[in-house]
Amino acid sequence: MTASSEQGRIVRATDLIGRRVVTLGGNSSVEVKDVVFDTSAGSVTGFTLRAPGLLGGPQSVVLPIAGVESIGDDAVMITDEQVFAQPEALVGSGDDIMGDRIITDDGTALGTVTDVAVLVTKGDGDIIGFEIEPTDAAGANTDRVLVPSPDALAMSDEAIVVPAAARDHITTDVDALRSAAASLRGSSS
Amino acid sequence: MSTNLSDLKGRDVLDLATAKAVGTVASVVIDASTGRISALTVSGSGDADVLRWDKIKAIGPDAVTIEDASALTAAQGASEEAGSRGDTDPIGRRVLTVDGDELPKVDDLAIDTDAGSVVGLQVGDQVLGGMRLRAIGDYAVIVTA
Repeated sequence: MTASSEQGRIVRATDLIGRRVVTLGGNSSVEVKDVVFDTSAGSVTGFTLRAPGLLGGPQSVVLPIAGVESIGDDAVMITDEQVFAQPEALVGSGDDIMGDRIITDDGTALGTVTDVAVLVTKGDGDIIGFEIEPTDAAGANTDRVLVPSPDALAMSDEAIVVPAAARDHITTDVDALRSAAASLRGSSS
Repeated sequence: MSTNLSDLKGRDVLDLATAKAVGTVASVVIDASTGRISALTVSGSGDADVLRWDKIKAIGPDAVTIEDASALTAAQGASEEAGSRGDTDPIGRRVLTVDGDELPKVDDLAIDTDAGSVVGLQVGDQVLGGMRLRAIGDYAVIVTA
């Protein structure tokens, strides 16, 4: 457990929606409404919040990623509610990445984004890959695969560009994404 | 001596000066940062419902004894007030690790009645050492991973 928290954990962005935000003092008044990405930096900048439950209204404050202690299977842990900030604190477009096309820099579409894999460590959320519905060009034989992400990404309203080498690192194993992203970043720099 | 909080609850609080029960043990006030039990809360004794640990004469199998009724005081400060409301009672509460993973709810608490400390938390099939207790909040009991 200790080792895994030092190395961080890989979480799916869609799994975080609705997850409770809890202080290390054991208090909680909000849950995650949405994940805000800064795709050009290849990272999560933070979370918008809502009151818990189906009728929970949006909150006027947000949670910057810098305020996150850790993210577990059941809660997003923060030191205390002092880490909440005004919405302007979240840089990044908040663009919806889901459904965007992933295309290599040599012009091959690999698929469309169905989820985002984030490596969470204390105070940081690194986009290390995308779950996609693959095209035939991806060379996959399952209906969902994971493509590692480079450090920084070029993206428009409809497409995200990854290095051609990303295609060689396509995997179905979330844990393998960590080394896949590392080797992609090593080879593309 | 060690006792379970569930066994301690409901035990008579006996005033040795009058030989009468002034109430029964309701719950505990825990300073989660140190794992110490700072007081018991007492039901049936009116507004003076806090029995600080250093005012207890003995914790026996059938009664908690006090010298006289002045051992009971009204709740003072945030933790005693929370205890008086029952907010620091961990039994039945959700448990989260500092990493954000949920464990089974707290079934019981093992207390060292000599030291006034939490020895362990019974959560489902496992017992967590008292040292792992980090905080008791309104949403969850927080333990180290």
